[in-house]
Amino acid sequence: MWRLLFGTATLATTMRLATPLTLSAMGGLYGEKTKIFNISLESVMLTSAFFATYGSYTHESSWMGLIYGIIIGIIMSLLFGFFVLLLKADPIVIGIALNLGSWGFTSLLLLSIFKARGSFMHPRITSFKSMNFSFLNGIPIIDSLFNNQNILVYIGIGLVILSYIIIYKTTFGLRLRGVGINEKAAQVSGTNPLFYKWVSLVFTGIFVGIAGAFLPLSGISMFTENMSAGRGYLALSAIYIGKGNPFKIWFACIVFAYANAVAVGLQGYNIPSQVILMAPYLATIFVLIITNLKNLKKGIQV
Amino acid sequence: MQKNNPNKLEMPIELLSVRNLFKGNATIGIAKYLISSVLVMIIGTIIILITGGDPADAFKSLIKGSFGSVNAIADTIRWTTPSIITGIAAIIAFKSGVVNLGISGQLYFGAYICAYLGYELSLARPLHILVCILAAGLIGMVYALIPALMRMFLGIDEIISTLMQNYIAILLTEYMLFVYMGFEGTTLMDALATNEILPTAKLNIIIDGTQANSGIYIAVGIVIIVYLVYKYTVKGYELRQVGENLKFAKFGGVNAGLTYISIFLISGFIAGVSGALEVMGPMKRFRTGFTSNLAWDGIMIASIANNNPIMVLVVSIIWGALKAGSLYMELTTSTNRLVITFLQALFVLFIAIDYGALFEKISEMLNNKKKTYFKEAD
Repeated sequence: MWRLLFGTATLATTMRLATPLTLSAMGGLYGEKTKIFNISLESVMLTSAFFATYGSYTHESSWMGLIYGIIIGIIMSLLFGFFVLLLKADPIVIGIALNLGSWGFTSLLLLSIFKARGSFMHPRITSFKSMNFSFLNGIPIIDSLFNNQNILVYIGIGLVILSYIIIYKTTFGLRLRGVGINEKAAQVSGTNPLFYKWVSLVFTGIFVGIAGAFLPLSGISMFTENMSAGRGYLALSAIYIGKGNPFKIWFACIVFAYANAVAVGLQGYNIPSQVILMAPYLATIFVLIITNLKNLKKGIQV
Repeated sequence: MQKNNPNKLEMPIELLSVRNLFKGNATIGIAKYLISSVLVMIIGTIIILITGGDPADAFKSLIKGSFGSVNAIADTIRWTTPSIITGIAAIIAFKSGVVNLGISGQLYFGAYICAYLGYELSLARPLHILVCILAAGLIGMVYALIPALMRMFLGIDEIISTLMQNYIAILLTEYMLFVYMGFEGTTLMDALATNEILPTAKLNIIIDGTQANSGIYIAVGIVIIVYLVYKYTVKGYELRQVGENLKFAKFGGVNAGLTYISIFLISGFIAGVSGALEVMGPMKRFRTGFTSNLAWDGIMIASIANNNPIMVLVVSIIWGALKAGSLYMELTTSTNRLVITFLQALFVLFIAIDYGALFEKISEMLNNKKKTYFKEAD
């Protein structure tokens, strides 16, 4: 039991599973700050995952895969912006259509490019290698958490800090938040809200693109149909739980990933893992209820 | 909405537009649908050509697989049924400004309870079916009650809570299936299913040897009831009013809280029923992850149908035909059925565009150009 909860495998898996979640939550955070309700993170991630596989396959380089992933991430994110900001379509309907469409789209490409159904694996697809820091060897928990991970895990951590700095410590971040808090006021003070919304979408694309590239290139070197598997929605709930603060969001993502890692570990014990897999979603609902309890005395609101 | 509370995440401004989107706008015109259909067809042709298929062939087999024979029509009916019901569940919510994205979860619970009662209860035939349907509806309703109460008393937006509920429902029904069927010999996840429901709980097959069942009558019945309620009753008027203008409805004496919660519950009930009909009709048992997209299809159908119940019927038939046809097309031609899934999503994207605003913007731009042109001429 101890090994299941705090063993090297579980802790290492936690960090690995937390990375795509964290990255996409950071990406979604920029949209959240400018009040773009983006449930299409899922589609961005999935499409990026596919093209990262494609890039890695054609160039036999994980870095090329990452670049492909980021570029496609930006394109997909701007596509959402094209429909929502420019053509004034409803973000929820667009989000749902993009999510379902990208599922069909990537599976279709999988079939027509790789002639594969369901999943595709090839020795040409190169993953990021795990990095060993000898000075971390032997330190109990730190070693299993932070050692022998691939570079994207470290980049993910770096980007959390960077996001915090961008959003809270720069003029750009101040304006970005200003647009979200009060669009009209921001406009009067001379910022162009639309510009900041587009920029936030580019950020979303980059971050979620990296998250998408992480999925196939983090060791398993394969693409499977609907690979993102709801991570986009989970990232969204991490943003809500973390109340828009990068570090809190990161923490939420790690807790989610930990639940997932324990569930993975449970598979060997012949215990159904569903209850633990459910934990992140239940936690989201509980956190929402607790943080909003103060609204109770306001009476019925619709 | 929640402006007094700076610590709380305010809901995005854009979100409010979802509440406006589904207002009935009769003048939207057929043009939008025509343009979108043509665009989708052109893109579809290009995709099929790129993937090395023959567009004419694919189109022919699509028609043949959906309306070409008795079996084809039966398949279309089989896929139309769930589309109608999830579509109706979606429009009931969206028409009144409730963003119920939890149809999927409500459907899962409905299906599970129906499969359970369908095997465990022994009742006479029509009663057994009725009990199963009602139980499924009720559980969907109870499940919808949670986000409704969270919204009403705590001001938590239902979008995120219903999204989370979907995953909880999928995992919880999976877990309940484990508990119900026993933990032994369950290494094969895909093979895990409940026992086949008793014959007394199965719906009538209306075309022999196919999956077309009497669920379609129930679906059409629901459409008619919903249409009549909206059109001719006071309650329907109130429901519509809440969707169109909440403030106005409140001044008009509509109990907004009660109306809001009843919309959510009805939507949940119908979503639960859709799960039951899937089990009692074609599936005969509950399987983990038995449907991934039915509920989302419902929302897409509702958005295409512009929240008109009769239009839901029309769009659902097209949806069902596309589903049946695409399965046939995949068997007979080299074109994959995912092309159709992709095109359906694309169609929704095109329909969702606010063409009115777009034309206004374009004409504005053209006018500006003219002005500058005249200035230069002067």
